[in-house]
Amino acid sequence: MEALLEVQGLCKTFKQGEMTFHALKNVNLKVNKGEFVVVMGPSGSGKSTFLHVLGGLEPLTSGKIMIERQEIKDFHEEPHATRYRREKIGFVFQFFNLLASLTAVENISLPLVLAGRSEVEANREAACLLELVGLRGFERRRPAELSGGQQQRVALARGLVHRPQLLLADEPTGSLDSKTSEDVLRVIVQMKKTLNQSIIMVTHDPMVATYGDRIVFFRDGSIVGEMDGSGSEDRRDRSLVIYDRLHSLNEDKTA
Amino acid sequence: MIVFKLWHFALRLLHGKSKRLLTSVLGAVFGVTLVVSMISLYINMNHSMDKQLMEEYGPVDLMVGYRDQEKRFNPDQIEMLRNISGIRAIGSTITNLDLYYHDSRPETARMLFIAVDNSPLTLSHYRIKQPIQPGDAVISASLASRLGVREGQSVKIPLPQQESKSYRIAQIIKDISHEARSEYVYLSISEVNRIYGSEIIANPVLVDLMPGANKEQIIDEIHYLITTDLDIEPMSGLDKQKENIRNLKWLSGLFGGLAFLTAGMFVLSNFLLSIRERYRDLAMLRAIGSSPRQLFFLIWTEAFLIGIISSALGSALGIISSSSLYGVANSWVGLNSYKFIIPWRAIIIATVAGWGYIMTIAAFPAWRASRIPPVVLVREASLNVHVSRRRLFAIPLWVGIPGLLILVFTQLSREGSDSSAYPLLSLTGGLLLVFGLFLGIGSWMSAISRLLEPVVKALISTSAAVSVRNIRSERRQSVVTVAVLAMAPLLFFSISVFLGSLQSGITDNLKKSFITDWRITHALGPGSDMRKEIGGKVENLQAADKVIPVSYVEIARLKDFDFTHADSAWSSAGRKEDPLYSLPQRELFSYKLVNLQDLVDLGKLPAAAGDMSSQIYISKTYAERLGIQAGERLTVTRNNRSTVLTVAAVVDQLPLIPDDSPNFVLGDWKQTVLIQPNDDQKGLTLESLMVHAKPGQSAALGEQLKAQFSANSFLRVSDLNSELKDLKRSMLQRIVLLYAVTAVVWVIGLLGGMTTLSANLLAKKREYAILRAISITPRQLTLIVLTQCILFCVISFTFGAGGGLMLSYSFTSALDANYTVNLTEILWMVLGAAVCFSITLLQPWLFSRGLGKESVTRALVNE
Repeated sequence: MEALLEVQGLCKTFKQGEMTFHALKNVNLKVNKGEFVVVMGPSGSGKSTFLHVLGGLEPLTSGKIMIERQEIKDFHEEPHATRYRREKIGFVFQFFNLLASLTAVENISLPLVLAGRSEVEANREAACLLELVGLRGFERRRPAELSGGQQQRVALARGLVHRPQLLLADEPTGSLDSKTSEDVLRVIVQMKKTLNQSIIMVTHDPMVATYGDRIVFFRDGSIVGEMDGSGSEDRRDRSLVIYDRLHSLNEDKTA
Repeated sequence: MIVFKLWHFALRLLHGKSKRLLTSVLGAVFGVTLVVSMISLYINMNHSMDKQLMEEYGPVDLMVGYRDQEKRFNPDQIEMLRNISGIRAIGSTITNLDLYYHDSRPETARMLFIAVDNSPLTLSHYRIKQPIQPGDAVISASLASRLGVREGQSVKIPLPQQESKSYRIAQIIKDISHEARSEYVYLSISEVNRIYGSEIIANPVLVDLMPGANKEQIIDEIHYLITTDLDIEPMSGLDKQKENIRNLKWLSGLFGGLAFLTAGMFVLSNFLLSIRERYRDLAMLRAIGSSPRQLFFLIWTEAFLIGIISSALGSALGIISSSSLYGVANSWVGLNSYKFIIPWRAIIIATVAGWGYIMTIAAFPAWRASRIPPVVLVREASLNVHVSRRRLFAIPLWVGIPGLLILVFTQLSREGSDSSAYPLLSLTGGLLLVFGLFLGIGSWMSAISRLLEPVVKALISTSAAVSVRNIRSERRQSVVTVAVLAMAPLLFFSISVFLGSLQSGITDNLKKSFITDWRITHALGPGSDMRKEIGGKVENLQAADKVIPVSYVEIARLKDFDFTHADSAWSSAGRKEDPLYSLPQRELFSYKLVNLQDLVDLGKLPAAAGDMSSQIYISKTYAERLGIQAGERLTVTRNNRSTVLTVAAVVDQLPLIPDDSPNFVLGDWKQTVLIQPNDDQKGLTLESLMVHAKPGQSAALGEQLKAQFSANSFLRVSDLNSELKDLKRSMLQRIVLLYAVTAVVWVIGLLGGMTTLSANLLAKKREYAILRAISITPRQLTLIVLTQCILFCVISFTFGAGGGLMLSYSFTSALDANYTVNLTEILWMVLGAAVCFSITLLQPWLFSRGLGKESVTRALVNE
């Protein structure tokens, strides 16, 4: 398969006064086009930092990030950071972060408007995406008039409307109940298939992780293991395997 | 292009925050209203003053001539006068034609003949529309009425020492006064010289000075270059009006400035709050592809829309409020109210400037918004501003303000209160002090809050002390909160204390001027024919015990005076060694003349030995300035006559002479330097007539005086009580006007206060939620929030009141008035401020109640 993202020797350190904290240590990862990679790990393992660095929200300390074999240089500095996020990256957050005063369509069309597309064109694209996430007829609803799952679907559509090469999802089901989470994850998988979308998703939940093609385990800022997401057809069984793996990683750490 | 695409988006965002939009617009509207109304009011009052001054005095600043003498100007003198620098134009006139051509016929007894040179200055001074042609005359309404003539008709007019001549009446002008001679006849100088076959050039000459010219210096120069015989009428009524308008300029400038500043602070705090509220939204926009420039323009577009609405509404309200305040403001400074003009050009400029100002102010929050890092969305992180750059920026201010202050105060001490630069320096010093005080709010506030922490712990609770720390930790937000809240008390205190001082000074002067039970003055001032109108009617009143005429003479001069005593620098700084150092050459002073013995009898002056007519009384301040001692003999010269006068006594305060008249002495009316030997007091200009009642008959005397002069509307009979009542009434008008302005600033301050307090609390919302999570009760939370807000109010009040006292001190110094702080008034002001601040606390109280009701989880999640 063709590689979309290649991360080589990625390091990220935070300095606070005299203290230096190594959040990411020599991380290497390859994500293929259309692949759905789930990042798991205990709290403080560096998985969210990894996502932020990939999204250009945080500058990296050292290492290389390549998209389609082209190194993305200075992508965390303006104006490169904006262009990078605008063209290559889509975000979905745990707390949907929709603008309360805008309708569903307007929220979705925002990245296109910000990129300079006409409002009519942006709204047309947004309406298509809204249909894809199963919210046809909800165009004029404001976030307050939508359920949590619907809001997250709108957020997902907003993350994909500009056709990013990579969708970064940070605990997208973290604030949803299990039924709604399942709906949202199904939509994500469907989008992945429909749009051949590459996705990196951070989660704590082994059940959520079962939707990924591949699961990457982080600990103390490094990738300490990987496992194939596919396997047993029963999602429950798979989640138990993931849970065991996660548990064993934690035990290794405490040992 | 993308900037224009953000319009719709900005509108939607504004629509989503309608409450915030309303407060933003309200604050900005009030600010623009105040600025526009100040400009409009000022322009209209300036126009009224110009018009009224033209009506009352014309454009003449000085009237130079030989009073009551048959002398006249020669062409060389006119030329010399014309060439004096600072003189813009001159106009020749011949007034009192009967002085040269005596006439005692009854038909000319009430007539006053004036010849004019038809120069624009002379014509406008006498309100004559067209140059007077030979064969034409301009007459006053009363003469026209007596002669039964109308404009354009011809009539025979009697002339001094001449047969009546026929003239076409070119214009009939309004009667000027209720004087004995009120029938005016204006002819051209060429016509007068033709009739009398003489060549009278002029007496007096009217002088128009260049703007900003020093009148006293020019008077001095005229005396020096031409002759000291000249009487110069400095048109002090005009000066008084000009001073009024100058004060008005200061006040409107100051109010406008403060309103501008308050509105600016309000807009700033509101936008900062608006950004604080949308922190996550803005970070999200960054995360999904908005560039910093787009965020900047998004906020700026909001400011653009708010600015347009506010400027338009503010301008409209400004015009309405200024037109309704116009009458009150005019009566305050003693101006007639003419038709209110809407100064469109100035208003358009003010509106555009107001809009531009809002845009400029909003640039800072917009810049801050553009710097919100997108990672804030996923992680709790504070906005990282380049602290080092900010500190570097602050250095020039910290060095500059004290430097400027030192410069201003050094200059102030060097110039002295007599200098023309003193008011401006004093005002600049006051404003710089207040600016410095506000600049240091951050540091002062930290120190004050540290002092208050143990007090809060002891008086309220340990948990409430969290609020004190909150003030320190959110320093930048706290500084804005204090600055906005402090503006209203600043204005309130500065105006109240300033007006209080002014009123107290005027009251003191009034008390000093009332040496008897009753006083009679003339509405047209000392130059009027008051003496003729009163005649000898007062002396005959039954209840009158003593009648003291008070006369006023403009200027006399010290002759052969040893100025080494008067110049402290001469001996102390060793100036006598300096060959280039020049001592003052002339000292001019003004007299008030009374029968000194009357004042000694009334116990108002200490007794002096010898002939009173050769004595003068001097105030301690003036004596100290000139280095004069009691008993010293001074040579005084005026109109080429000199006399030697003895300083009878140096007194702390001269009766009849206000505190703010430093160059006055009190002399006896029989002084030969002022009136010709064998002449009597009737030759002097009467300023007022002081009437002392027989014991226990003060009220009866008042009634008798009023009954006697009730028919003459120009004469004013008053006692101290009625004068004080009038003063209170006129002060009340000023107070109402100024308090109306202050009230608007209070409203802006209150709105701003609510907004900034909310912003401050919002910044700490997460901390409050955490406090709730660790089992602080809703009641304790309310207590913490309210304590924090009360502390803000106390600190702001301290700053505002302190700044207000400083500012009012500089105003009173600038006007050379005594600074008086009335403690009762201060107490009322504190109470008033407490009420206003209590209103400000309403929003935080509701906020804290809301926080208390919200579930902890929700509070934490919704941060």
